[in-house]
Amino acid sequence: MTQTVYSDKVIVDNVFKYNRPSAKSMKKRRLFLALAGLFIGAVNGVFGAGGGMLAVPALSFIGGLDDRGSHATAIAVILPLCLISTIVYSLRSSFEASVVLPTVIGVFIGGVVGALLLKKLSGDLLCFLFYGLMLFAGLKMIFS
Amino acid sequence: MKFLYFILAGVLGGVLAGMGMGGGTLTLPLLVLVMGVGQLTAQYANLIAFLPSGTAALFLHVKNGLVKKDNLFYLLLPAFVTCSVSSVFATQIQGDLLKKLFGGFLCIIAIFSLVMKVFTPKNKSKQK
Repeated sequence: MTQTVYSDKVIVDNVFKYNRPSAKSMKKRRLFLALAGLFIGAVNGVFGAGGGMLAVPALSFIGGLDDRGSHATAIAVILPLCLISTIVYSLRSSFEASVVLPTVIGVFIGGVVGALLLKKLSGDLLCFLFYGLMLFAGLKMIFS
Repeated sequence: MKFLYFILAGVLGGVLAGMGMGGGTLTLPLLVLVMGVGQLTAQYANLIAFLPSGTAALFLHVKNGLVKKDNLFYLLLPAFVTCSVSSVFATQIQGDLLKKLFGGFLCIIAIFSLVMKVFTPKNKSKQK
């Protein structure tokens, strides 16, 4: 079944399908999108990161977008947010070129590599490795 | 030499970001824990780093028709407001608090994602 934009995601025989939403469900969905927006904005502003990790599930579960659509649309959400944060940070904190410049170069190179790898490399092992590492880093940051 | 390590930290986060897994959540701890950069400086670097990569990615996604714009406004408007306020908040926090908060955020995301991963039915990958 083809996906309508912001369609209702339903599970039929354990497979996700998409239905055109009713007016009532549309209204409810907008409210939840707005609530998610409040949270995503707050997180992305205070940490300068993490908005995408929240926007993807929000767009998927509330918006009913599929995997590719929610990832792509999440970038449209966090890019303007990052722009706002960058402006605020630049006005209120110091710019350390020795850190910022190489990081910018690295992220750009990595981004291209990651986008190319996407089709070849995916899987549960990578996910568990990533989240395990994340948990470890988080604990270390709290207790260091 | 340090220059190269910063590039490497960026590359590692960038690869994940390119794969759609949240690169900043890797770049930030690398910069802070391994390279000893201050939390706010790391966040600032990560934000700036995302702008060119994100713009390039967005351009490609829009071209491929993957970005769904309808109703996006309802999410974006409140996000703009809280993002502006919390950005100011981030630049005002003193000491290690910002780092600890981010550590807590990482833990929550990691545990939540692991739990989701374990309990999601396998045939979710069939969704189109």
